Amino acid sequence: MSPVENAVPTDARSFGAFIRAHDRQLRGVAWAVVRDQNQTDDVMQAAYEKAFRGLSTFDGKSAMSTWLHSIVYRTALDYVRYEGRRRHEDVEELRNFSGGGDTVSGSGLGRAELEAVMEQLDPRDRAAMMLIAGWGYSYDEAADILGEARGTVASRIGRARRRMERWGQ
Amino acid sequence: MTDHDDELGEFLRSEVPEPGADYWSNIDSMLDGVESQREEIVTNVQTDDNVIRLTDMTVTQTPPVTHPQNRSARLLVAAALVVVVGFGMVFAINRSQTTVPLETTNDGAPPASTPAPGEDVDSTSTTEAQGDAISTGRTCYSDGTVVITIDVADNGSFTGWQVPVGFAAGIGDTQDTELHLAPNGGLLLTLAGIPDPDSSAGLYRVSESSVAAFRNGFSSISTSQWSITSELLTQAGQVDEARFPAIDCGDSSDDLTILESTPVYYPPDFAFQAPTISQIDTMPGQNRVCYTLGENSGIFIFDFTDDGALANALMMNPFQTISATKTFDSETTYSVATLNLGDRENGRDTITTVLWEIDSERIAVSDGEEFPAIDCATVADQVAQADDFLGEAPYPAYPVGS
Repeated sequence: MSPVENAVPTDARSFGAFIRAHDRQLRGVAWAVVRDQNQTDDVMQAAYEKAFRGLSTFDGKSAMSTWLHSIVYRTALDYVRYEGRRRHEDVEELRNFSGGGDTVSGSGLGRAELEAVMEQLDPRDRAAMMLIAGWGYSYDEAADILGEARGTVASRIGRARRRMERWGQ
Repeated sequence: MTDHDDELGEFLRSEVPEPGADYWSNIDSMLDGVESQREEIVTNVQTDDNVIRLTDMTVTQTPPVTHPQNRSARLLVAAALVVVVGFGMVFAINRSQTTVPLETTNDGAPPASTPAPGEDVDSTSTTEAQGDAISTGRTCYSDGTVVITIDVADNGSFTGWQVPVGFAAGIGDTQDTELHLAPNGGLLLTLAGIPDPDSSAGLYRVSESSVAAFRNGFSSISTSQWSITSELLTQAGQVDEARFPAIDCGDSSDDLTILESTPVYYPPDFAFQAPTISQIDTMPGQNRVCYTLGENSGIFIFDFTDDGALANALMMNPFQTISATKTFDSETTYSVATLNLGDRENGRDTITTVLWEIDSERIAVSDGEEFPAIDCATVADQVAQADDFLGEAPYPAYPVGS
């Protein structure tokens, strides 16, 4: 953990600079959970407010960015949970989905079809995928962010991959 | 990572949408606002010239109630209610900077009284009463369920007040804030009132330091705007404006002073328990009633003794746990304290208090929201569904007395 990474911003200006530097990755987690641009923005603002108000509770045991990821993830999950934003697409509808465009290798699916599969995944599985496959976090780091055991995260990744393989057949 | 993984990662990253046009300006404004609030509160609370410390901390016997404004998901009924007698948005800020230690001495002001249990206050006066700025002495306000007492010195400043806080479950540490039991088992708050510089007519910004610091340590400050006149106390900044018309303070009550020397003790090994489904099946209580908030939205389980007292209260949801205390004048109305665990990650939790009417058919919340009873035999299945959605988080619960 670099000194910069571990530095704790103390005021609005330094906090703003910090989150600007990490926003893209943080947004990725929120997006993975809520899957809506406007709602992602809402979640991010709420999460940043929580984090800024709770800066004093950051204990420095993990990287600041890890702590922020965790807050964003929980905020997004709460949003989905409380706002009833969970998607309930009909499986058959998805099965009959006619995707097009380029194929994303590793999944055997077209891009549009892969997007549809992502929609169908559990929000927490998507977040795990985003952290590990999208941003290159280790399983241990992702486990810290998601507040789950490493094995649980591994199960999420495995489950998501199986879904992709299944729909790719 | 394989090339395939790289491509998948690229796909995932490419999916992330760019923020909206006002994204950063909104966030910057929010950060500036939070910082201003924090600086203002800290400065005002710590500067004698600007602060009127309100130290008369006693409590009435009337159980608290908030009036829920359920705007979103049903599960947030309690969270939409306001912590502490339904007042104010919660601004969790640094406890060490903002918590005002609870002072237990009464500034010599006579103890306040409470209305008789169940006594109604003429609510019609709330719509028109404005009144003059309060003068010296004690003024009491009530919405029929909550009594607020304000003491004013000769120079017009507050010297004390009292607000009942009826959390049925008093849990936490007392590192910075001295906590006291209320007659109904609740806790008291520390309060500080800061005159609003823009108002000369009794408008006060009131910060309410939180009641409980749980084992992992947290404290929060609720800040709200109160307009206080001789006839009406209005609390704004809420989903709805709360109005408390003045009432006759009546005679003194010895019950109030007893509380001032009754600290809350917490068992050193206290921890929320995480019962499994099998444990729940064996929880004590012969008369179990189960309610649902809806799909994936949590389940309430109440166990009653044969004489109708509440033996257990449990919310099957990893974000919240509850406790319930029967109100003074009803067999089916309970003051329910809800601990919201949703913000554990950044070190704070929230307690809300609501008034529920509970019977074998449904829970009726005071805003009209109702949660139907379900067959308790189906609880395990519903819990499994919720668990599938919510993950492996524990289901906290703890028994409460009747």
